[in-house]
Amino acid sequence: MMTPNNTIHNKNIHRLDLLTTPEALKIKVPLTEKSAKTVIQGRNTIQRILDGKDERTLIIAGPCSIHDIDSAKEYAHRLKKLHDELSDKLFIVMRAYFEKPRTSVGWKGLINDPNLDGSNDMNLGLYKARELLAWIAELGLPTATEALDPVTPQYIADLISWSAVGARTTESHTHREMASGLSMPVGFKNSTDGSLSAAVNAIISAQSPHTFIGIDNGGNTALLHTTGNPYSHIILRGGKKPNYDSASVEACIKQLKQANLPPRIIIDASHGNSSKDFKKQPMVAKSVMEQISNGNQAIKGIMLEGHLVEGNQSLSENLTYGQSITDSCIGWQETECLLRSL
Amino acid sequence: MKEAQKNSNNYYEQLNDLRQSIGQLDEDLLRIFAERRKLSLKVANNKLATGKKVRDQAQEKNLLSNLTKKGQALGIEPSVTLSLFHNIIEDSVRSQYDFFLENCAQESLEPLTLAVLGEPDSYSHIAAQQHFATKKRRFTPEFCPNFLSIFKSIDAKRADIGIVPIENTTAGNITEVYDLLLQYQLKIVGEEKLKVKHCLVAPKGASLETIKDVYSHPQAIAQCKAFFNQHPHINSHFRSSTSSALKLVAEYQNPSIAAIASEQAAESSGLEVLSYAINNYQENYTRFLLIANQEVNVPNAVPAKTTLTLQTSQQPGALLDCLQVFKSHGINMTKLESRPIPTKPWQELFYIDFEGNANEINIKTAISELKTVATEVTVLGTYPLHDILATKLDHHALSNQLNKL
Repeated sequence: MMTPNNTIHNKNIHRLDLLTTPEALKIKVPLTEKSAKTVIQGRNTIQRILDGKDERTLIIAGPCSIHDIDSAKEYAHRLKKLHDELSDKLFIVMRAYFEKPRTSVGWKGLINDPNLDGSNDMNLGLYKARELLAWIAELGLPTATEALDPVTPQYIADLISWSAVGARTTESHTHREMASGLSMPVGFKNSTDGSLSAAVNAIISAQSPHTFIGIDNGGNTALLHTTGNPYSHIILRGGKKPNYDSASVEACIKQLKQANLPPRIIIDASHGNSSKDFKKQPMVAKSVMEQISNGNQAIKGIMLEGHLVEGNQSLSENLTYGQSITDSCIGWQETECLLRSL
Repeated sequence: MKEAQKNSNNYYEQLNDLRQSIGQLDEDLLRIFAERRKLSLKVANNKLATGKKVRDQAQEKNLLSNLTKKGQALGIEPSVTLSLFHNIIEDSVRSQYDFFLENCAQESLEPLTLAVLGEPDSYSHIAAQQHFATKKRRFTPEFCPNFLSIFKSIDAKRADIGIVPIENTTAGNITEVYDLLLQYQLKIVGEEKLKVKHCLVAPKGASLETIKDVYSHPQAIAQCKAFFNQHPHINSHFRSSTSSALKLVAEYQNPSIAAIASEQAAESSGLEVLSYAINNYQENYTRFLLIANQEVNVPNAVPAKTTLTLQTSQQPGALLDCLQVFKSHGINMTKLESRPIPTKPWQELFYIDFEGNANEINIKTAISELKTVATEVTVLGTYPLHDILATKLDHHALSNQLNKL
């Protein structure tokens, strides 16, 4: 007698759902000519900043995570005004994070659970994420995201100008391979303990060609052969203690040079650098800006976590509009004041 | 050395001059062709006023025999003259038919919204462009992902008209379209025949030796079966459309992966055409139907075709009785097709195409006779016949001319 398949295979998988293909999603939410222009110009400008050919500072600002489309659109609308007004000194990109790795368990982001209720309707999540990215690109504002799941870029990456790999996944082989094939610049965060070696190794790996399993536009499994991503760089996000100070930045430059990598650094004003106190972000950003004014050419940009309303809230029935449901953010006024002062 | 250089420069200049002269002549030819077209429309206007038919075979024969004579005096073979002027006359006749049709319908010149399968340069899109080439009225394509959405779009009046393939001379009928025709009860308002040339398309650097997998629409693969039989190491895979197959090839950029698509689509995809016309038979045609909510009125001067469906009783000879009606009225049937009726297992519905206009007395009588022998008769539409047969000079006339030389 044949052994029923699920007694030895897929034992802990109780169900499969069909997932839409990238091709089908792109027909529903196409890349328009205007949004393609935003993405191409966004990527080119960021590459020029990383190459030192554009003197402006890259600013990546936005909610820790997006859980509500309306408030994200309102934030984008306001940020676009600053993007235009401050374009002589800053190149402002909106942080649009849809995938959240959690310390243990919790809400994993809009793509994974768009209904915020554990129903995990990823077909809807991918649609909402793509629809929002297309809307923001149509507005003329480039976006930045964290690349967490190695398959989702096939669905949305054509609308994104910059990606990050988080502190916990920088060491992951899968994420380095993925980064080597991404079309936009990719930043690797230093490890949570503050050490830089995992990120430095990740940059070397991501700049090299890889072959790995992924999906094609039609959703079939395929072998992807990458060329390597020349625009991979480090993000200093602090560790046990902050690492945005000039001594830490110098140490980082030294380590990059030892690995024969160009010294190009983005500094995350939140996380370990704000010692987990979101209110310290403006202070960190100003200090970093001062280093840049003092002639530090390795620092290319600053990351900020900000939303319409400051702080954060836990997931509940009555959510405050425009406030983060993951890490705490600075409020809009504070963000605007800060960006104008930089 | 210097002399040789000078000579080669001279030759180069000479070639340039010759090319320029030919280019000038070609432009003159085009201009003259356009003038001829205008005159031909004036002729149509005259015929409309006097109630004359568009085609006058005797007049065409005269014209052709005259031209072949004059051509021969200029050193042009009669066969060359004939093939050149068959094309010109076909365009002229088609333009005149369309002039009669447009005049009869008193249509506005607003572009029509036309529901069409696939993406730009799909075979349906190419057929639509060919259909409208001799018409004054233009169209704006509304691309649909499948046949059903074309019918829905017209039914909901989002599109004015639609184009759907109905049969191919190699692969046979597109049965889904037959069933949708009945389900939606739209009217057939025209037909178009397209010579289909399937091209093998691959990224740069690919060759017949490197290709292992070929993607395309099932219809295209069926029409190229001989190619796959000749190359047993190449596997075929189905895609929803030829354009989706081209996208896959462009995405993979892999010399082992190719697609089958139209020449036009291949060219705009930026991929390379490895082989033109890999279809089983070089004479490979697809017939398309134009469908709309409203039927068209085909004036008598324009040769017409009619499509109807009929159901017969379950008695022996019931179909024969129906066909007898066509015979006794001298009606030329061009197609007979049967389709199952899902609600009545083992009963068949017959689709019949025949030459003639449902407004003619003879045809009207035939249809009312049909209604007495068939259980149900539905006319799906009368529309202008696509074929414009070339007027042939008989052998005798041609050889007479040759003898005179």
